[in-house]
Amino acid sequence: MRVTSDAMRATFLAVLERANRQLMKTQTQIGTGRRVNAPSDDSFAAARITEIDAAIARLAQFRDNGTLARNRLSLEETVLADVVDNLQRIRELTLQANNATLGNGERAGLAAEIRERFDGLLALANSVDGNGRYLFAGFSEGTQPFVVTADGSVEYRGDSGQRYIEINDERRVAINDAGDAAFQRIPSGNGTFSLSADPANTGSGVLGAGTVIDPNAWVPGEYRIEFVSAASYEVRDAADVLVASGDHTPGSSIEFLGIGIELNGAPAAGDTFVVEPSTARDVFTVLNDLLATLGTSVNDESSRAALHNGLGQTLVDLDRAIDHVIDLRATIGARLRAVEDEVLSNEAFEVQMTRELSDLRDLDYAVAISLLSQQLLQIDAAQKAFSRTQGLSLFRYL
Amino acid sequence: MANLLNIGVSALLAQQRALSVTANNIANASTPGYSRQRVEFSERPADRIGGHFVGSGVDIGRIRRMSDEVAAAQMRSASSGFHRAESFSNLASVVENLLADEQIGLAATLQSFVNSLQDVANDPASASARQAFLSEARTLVARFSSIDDRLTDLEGEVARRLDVVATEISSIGKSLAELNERILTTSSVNGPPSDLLDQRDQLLERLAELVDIQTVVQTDGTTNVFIGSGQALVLGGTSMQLAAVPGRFDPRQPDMVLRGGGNEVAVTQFLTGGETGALLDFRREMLAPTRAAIGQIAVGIVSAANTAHMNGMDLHGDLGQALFALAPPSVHGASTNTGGAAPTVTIADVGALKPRSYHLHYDGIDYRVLDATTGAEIAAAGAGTAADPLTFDGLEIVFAAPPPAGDQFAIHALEHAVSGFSLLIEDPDRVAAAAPVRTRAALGNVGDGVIDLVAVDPADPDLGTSATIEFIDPTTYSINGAGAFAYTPGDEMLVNGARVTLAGAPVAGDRFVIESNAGGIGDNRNALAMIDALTGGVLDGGATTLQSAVGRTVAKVGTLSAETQNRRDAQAALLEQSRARLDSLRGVNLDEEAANMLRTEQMYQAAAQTIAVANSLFDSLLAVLRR
Repeated sequence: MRVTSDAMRATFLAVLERANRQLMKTQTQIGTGRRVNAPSDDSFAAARITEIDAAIARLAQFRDNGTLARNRLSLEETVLADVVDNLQRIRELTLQANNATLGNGERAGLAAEIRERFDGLLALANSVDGNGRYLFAGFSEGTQPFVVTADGSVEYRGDSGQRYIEINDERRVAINDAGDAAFQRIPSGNGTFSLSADPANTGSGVLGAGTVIDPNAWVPGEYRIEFVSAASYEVRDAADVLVASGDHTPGSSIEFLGIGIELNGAPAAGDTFVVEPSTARDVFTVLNDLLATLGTSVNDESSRAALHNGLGQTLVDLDRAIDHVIDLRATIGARLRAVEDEVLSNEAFEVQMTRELSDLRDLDYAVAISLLSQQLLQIDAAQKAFSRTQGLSLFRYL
Repeated sequence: MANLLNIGVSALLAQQRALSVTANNIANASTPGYSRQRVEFSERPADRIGGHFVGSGVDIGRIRRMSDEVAAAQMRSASSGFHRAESFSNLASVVENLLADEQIGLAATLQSFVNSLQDVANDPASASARQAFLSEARTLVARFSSIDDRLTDLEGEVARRLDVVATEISSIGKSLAELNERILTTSSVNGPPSDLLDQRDQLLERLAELVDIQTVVQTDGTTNVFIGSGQALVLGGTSMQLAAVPGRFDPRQPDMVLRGGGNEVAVTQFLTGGETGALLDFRREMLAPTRAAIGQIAVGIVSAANTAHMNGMDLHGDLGQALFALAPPSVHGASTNTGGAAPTVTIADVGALKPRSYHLHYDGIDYRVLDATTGAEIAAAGAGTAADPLTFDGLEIVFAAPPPAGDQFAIHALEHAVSGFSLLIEDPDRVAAAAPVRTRAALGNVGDGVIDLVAVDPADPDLGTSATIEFIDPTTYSINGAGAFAYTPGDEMLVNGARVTLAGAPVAGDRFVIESNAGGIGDNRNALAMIDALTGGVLDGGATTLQSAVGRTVAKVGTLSAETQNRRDAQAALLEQSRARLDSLRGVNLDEEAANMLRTEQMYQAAAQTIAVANSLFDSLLAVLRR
């Protein structure tokens, strides 16, 4: 083939242009440290990179969410720990007050401290977080959840809402417990049924704790244990149907429908004790009842029996309440553990994602730099060759 | 002797010509389009002298223009291919860089938007979290809008360049026709003048850079030029005009027409190769599908976000409003339509949408739906009436009245969607992070029944009105004291627009309350529902998340761009080869010319010497006579 002077120049320019384009690509790669600088460099990798970038940003968000969940749950746990302390102190005071040797005045002293503790508990139930929002108001976190009304009872103005936040794509964790769940939905009595003595009782019968002997035989409902005489009783349900009857000796247990009720002292004929199915009892109602019981002066056998009946059942309720709050703390602990687990697994995932991103996107400098010097050499050689061949001309010899 | 003198003179003259051809070759060594010329000598007829034939000198047989039509046509075809690939790849790299930048890319913006929603979910009462969410929403809108603006700019640039290219093609066509005329009038027996042919080849080369052409050289030396699938641009001394006219469906997308002799032929779909082919292919293969894909993602975002947001409740206790607005699907009737009314197009199923546009034809009986890019027919159901809309790919099309037969419409369900993308909420309090109702079990409940809100129907006017579900016995309940409905655990029930589930074992007298969530500023259930909606499968029947749709679009653009770059490199090599081949025929090699010059010079000197010899012979003769 004939080679023409212009063709030589054109070929050289084309070679140089291609070499320069490759050089620029290598230069960009070295400058950015990235193998993929535009989707066309590796379109599969580019698509994967956008997905991994998004996934890493999502994981960063989950990390923030995890921190927030941990802070919120720790705060709630601290408050609940204080609640347990308060309730335990109140239980000790109630136990002291239940001592038969105490006089009215001494009980009033104990009642005063219980009142203090009550206020402390109320303040804890109305705790706020760093932004001034109530911890135990459910969704209505701008509303003070527990409010003392004119008659001294405590009213819940929050709701049952529980907020979840995402700590992973698949995992949400509750970061609050509504006030009703924490302080109101406490099963009364022993969790199956609760006991009370009719205030009009004249005997000295004092209820102990009820026990469930056979859960299958228990039919939830309201039952009255009526003493037809000092030694015999009848059990009737809400429709006044006789359920059971029997004789009672002090200290023995009255049993019917799978439950047993310990009764001490000497009930009088006509005395009535009530069995109700366990329902939610508000801790503030328990304490208000306790204060009312302590405020009643004791001056005879029946009022003493009423006091012991009241305090005895309060102790049962307080145990329930303490158990309930401790259980709640345990679930918070479990949630905190879940958060920690997810934070750790998110971190592991993030490391993995970052590694994949680096594999896809980052440049192997050793390869790139050797490529660069090779390309420079190529350009240099092409230029030298061109200048030598351009010097060749017959005209120089004419 | 006179003969000798004549022979010498003929050689002198011939070598003089040859020298000037060589000089011309050297002079035009770097003139674009120049074809080198070669002198071909021929013997003069011999004289018969006494039974012998004696040569009478030399003549210039012809001055040959060294070129080859086939090689030139191959080079032009390679040039068309290369310029198509090069222009396309330049345009494609604009689109890919637009989509890919990681800091401003769609994927990152979309993720920031969802993350800011997470922050709202973490602390729904926080004004700053809500503000940040709205600001991220604005960024999202701005990001989509700026990409759409750039793509619209590109559409405009394509339209403008088509216009420029059409003008240049027309003007080259005109010059070629004029050249044909001059070739006709100036041709000699030895063919047309070289310079005219060089000019013609140069114009054809330039024309091939603009569009793929076919040429036919006539016996009279003129050249006819055809573009597209055989449409004549130049026929002898006449040329047609190529023009970019406002598109049949969309004035912003010009069609190409060939005008001449009072006729106008649409050639848009026939033009290939060169810059014209690149512009048309880029518009059809990359710009429109990319805009549709971006539009599809935007429609997915808006549909997911709006639906979820409208199920929620804002800080004022009102139901959430639509968060974003989008431009509705656009319909353009063809300029050739005889009827008036365009149909209404609505998106019925976001999950069924496809990132493409359509052409709709009505033949008087049936509607035919075609893919606007590929022309493939798409199955559609329905009669096109309000009662039975024409449905395909998640769209519903309703004609108020059937159009006249032959009417055509272009349907862009997604391509123009982003042009109307805007944020509708400015007040952070209006972000509906909460659910509009809340549920609770009454405190005195004895059983362990649990109530949960599943969904709400924002269209129900009673939504938020309190309702109580009370159990008459463990298997029967009433709602607001009325009715007796059978209960099995896990039952779902719809009460005042709230869909709730009841589980567990309630007993007689247990009550469950559904009430307005007014004041529930700490509720984030709807924010979580929005996150679910935005991160779950939205497109392709739930198979594709928005994030992966972004990745898919980036990959598609990247693949196409890489493909055109590879094609450009391949075409460049092809062009180089064919140019080298043509150059080897027609290009000037200076060394060769130098050698030729030396030879011609020697020849000239030798011829001059024969004249000197003739002279001295004559002198000798004279001297003899003088004696």
